[in-house]
Amino acid sequence: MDSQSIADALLSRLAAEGTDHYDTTLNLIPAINQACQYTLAMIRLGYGQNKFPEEALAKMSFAKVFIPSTLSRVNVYGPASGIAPEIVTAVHVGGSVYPSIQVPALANPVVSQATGYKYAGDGDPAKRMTLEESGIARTNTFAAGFNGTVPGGAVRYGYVPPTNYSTGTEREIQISPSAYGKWVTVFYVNGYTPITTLGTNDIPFMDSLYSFVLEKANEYINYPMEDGIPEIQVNLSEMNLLLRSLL
Amino acid sequence: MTYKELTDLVIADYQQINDDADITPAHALYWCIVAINDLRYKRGLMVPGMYRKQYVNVPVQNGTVTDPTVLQQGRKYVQLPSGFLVFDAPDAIEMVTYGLEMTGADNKPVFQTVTFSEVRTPNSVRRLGFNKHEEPSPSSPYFMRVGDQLMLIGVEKVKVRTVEMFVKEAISFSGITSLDEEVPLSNDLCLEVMRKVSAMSRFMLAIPKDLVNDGRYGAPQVNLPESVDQGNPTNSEAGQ
Repeated sequence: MDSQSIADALLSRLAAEGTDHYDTTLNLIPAINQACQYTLAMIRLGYGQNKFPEEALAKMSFAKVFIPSTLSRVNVYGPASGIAPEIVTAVHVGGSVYPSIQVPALANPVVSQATGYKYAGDGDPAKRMTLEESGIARTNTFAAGFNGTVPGGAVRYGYVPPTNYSTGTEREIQISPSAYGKWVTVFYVNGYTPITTLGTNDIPFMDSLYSFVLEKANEYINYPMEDGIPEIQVNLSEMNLLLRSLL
Repeated sequence: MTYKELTDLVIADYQQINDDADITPAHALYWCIVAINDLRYKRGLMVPGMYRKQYVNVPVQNGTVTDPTVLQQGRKYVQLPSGFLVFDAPDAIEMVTYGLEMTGADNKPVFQTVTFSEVRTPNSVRRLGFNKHEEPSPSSPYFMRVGDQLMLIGVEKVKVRTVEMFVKEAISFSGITSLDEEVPLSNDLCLEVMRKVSAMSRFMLAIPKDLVNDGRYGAPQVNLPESVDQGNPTNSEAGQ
């Protein structure tokens, strides 16, 4: 989505209202950034409830390969990993990478990203668990995340979303049963990086969200003009608009 | 037919009905094992050889004074290993044999040498001694099942290191190493397995739906079985 076209559309609307003295840096860019951050929050909310197609996240989706530590954890956030996932969308355990190599032994639980390798597929998807679920599932033979012996092929992995287990800034995904010695691929959605320049900075949303972002940016600009439109308004009509934009 | 095919079938079928049903392969496998064992037991009664398994060189153990079981010092017994689930049926242990003189000169299989006859109750053991043709001896020994042990009677004074056994065996969850193994059941019984699994799982998956809590006060409870007032004479046999 082109940030310049959003700004042009905004100016066009605002000019129609008889206001023609908006500044790009003071008004347009902050409004677009706020609208995009709001949109990401809405997507996150909807995604958590299985209400959103994953294609809506395509421009922000990444899959990185990690080497789990002896504690069966991978560090996905912090200076060492170099990434900052906003939403973990999937975790695959096992499988292979390209170019093909064996999983190196790793005892250090901090640096675990296997840079230079792509996920080649054929891993087992792990089930997302809450912290409380993970404790119960660990001892339940039939639950995903069971930390015991089941027949080969019947293993279902579970993972706990990023948590800080250390005194540093690392946040690690815990996988059960142990994924040590296997590749772990984390699919995630990056957070929104605010744009600073129109045109050169692209907005990482699909074009189908254009009207939604535009409407929201328009609201943010109208608010300081005392138009009576509240700054943040989450209601059913907005959710419907967002869903219509996506589907 | 492999275990994987069966478990995938169960999971895929249930997701047709309830797409957010979270049935793990281990869970589906356990359902299948219950159904398979039931079928193996019933078919095993009709088709004797189909579900028979042979174990050779099963070690014979000697009871010690400190044995916490009924076995006394010097008594010989066979411990059925864990994962070795013999059916709970009178003829599940079909044959126990040992080589009395294992010279191997005639190359006979061990099970052609000396066969342990089955005796089912402790009282019957005592009665055996009354008849010289039935008296337990190294050439005419007996076995009696005590839980997961087989007491060997009549071989107290000879060396018996191993026995050979034929049993009708059940399968166990822990005994399966991989879902890619073949199911030890005729392929034509796949339909029966699915029928039994669906009967079990339908019941289990139906329960939570009946007890849905919609979070509203005063909402009528639906689909719950009505309780019978035991104090109402119209509901009792005497009142009818």
